[in-house]
Amino acid sequence: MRWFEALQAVLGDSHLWQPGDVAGRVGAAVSPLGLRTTIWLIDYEQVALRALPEPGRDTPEPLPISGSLAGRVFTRVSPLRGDGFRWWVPMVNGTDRIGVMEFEAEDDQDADFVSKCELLAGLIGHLITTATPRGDHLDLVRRSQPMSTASELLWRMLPPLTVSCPRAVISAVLQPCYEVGGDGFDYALDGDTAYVAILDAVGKGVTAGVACAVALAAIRAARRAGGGLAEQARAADEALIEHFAELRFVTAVLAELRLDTGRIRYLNAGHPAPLLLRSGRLVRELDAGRRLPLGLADPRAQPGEEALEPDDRLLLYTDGVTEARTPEGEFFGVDRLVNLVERSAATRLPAPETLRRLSHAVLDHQGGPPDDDATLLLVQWSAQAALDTVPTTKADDD
Amino acid sequence: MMTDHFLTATTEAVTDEVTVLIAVGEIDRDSTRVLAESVREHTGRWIVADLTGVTFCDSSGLNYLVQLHHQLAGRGGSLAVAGARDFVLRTLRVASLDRLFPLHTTVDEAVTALSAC
Repeated sequence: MRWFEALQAVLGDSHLWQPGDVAGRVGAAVSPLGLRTTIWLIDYEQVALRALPEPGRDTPEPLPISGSLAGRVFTRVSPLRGDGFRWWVPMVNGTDRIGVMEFEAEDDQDADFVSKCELLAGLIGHLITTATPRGDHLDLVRRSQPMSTASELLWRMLPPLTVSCPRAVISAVLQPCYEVGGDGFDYALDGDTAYVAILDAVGKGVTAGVACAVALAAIRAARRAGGGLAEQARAADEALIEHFAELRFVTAVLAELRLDTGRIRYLNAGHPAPLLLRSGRLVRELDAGRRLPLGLADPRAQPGEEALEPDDRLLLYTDGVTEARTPEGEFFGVDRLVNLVERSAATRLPAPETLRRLSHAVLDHQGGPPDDDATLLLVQWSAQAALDTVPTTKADDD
Repeated sequence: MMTDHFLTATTEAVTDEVTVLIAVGEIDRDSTRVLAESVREHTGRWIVADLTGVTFCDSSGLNYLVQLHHQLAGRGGSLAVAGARDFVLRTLRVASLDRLFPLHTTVDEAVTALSAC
């Protein structure tokens, strides 16, 4: 009953939470259980977990994802026991990774203790998501540096980085996260159809961000009005032509995947071709469905088609990924990207973790501030891949 | 000749209607103005952009080429690209801009094709 009361206290309290209250209020709710909690949020760059400050307690230093137990819990979305009477439990919103919750008990606990912690962390993950827009505090905890105007605009446009349903996972990652300008993505998982879109607006900064936002909003409006791929692209063309005095184009891939049959239809508006991977290997680039970039009408364009097989992966990326250059001018390139994705297949990592590692490989390759936005979006038509994104105790197989 | 740190542009009139724009270097957001300035005086209907000496072109560069094409199309003409290779050719093809204006191997080929218009 005491756990039930703790959950009740958290939920009942949460309606009036201010963002800065979260850590203290959760701490107060679980202290009758003899527990001390620390809530860790993932930073925007997905490099470290940052603790929510709690009144009367020193805020611990950030924990790096790579090399820490907490990081391992985050990457695998699976709880682990730490030293002493300490447990680390993943915290998600749906399947979007928010961070990790640390539980410190006074003595040893019974076998189902972890599942109770998971229940609480599950609730907190959702409550943090709803409390974040109430103020700046929770969002600021996730930042290691200020964000540009273009980035503020763009992040508010985007859906959560990861979404799953029983038959598929869609996950995305954007860099440089504090200065991202013209890249964007979207998805919708309704019924038997998964819509995905990846966009890259020409230029940089706020102007590129606005072009991306306009194209994205036009695509959504057309889709929600029942329009298919061609209508969505046409709506983006019209919106970009109408709202910009000068030509401003946005390259994009718009795709719809039938979740029951695996049939995929896509339009490629001047964008790098999506990569189809099967059994861990690149099968081919999806190089059909070509049309001019969004913003340049191209009524002759016909969608390309492809049949996915169960467990196939589809990787979409913007040119900032392959055109990332070392200081000596060496491109990251498609071959390196394919090689890394192929290698990742063997590790059975959750989709968002595969992308986190890929995006950091791109940043490492550049060895400095990126010249361009680099976005990756992965679609896995796989019931197993969907389960791998759900926070549960799973076999630790490596 | 127009130039900046990364890009040099020169023009050669073939006829009153056709000018060849020769670009050498890297075309990006900061250097497209070099191209714009070098063709400002051109009033003909066709421009052949010779990109043989261009090693890099970003999306702003592509955006400029499309703008230039639109200007020329407004006069009943068009842009033609010649000599693009490696990275630049791939960039133009990925952006599907070959659906908007022709990509030729050489300037001569581009001029010959325009003469047939």
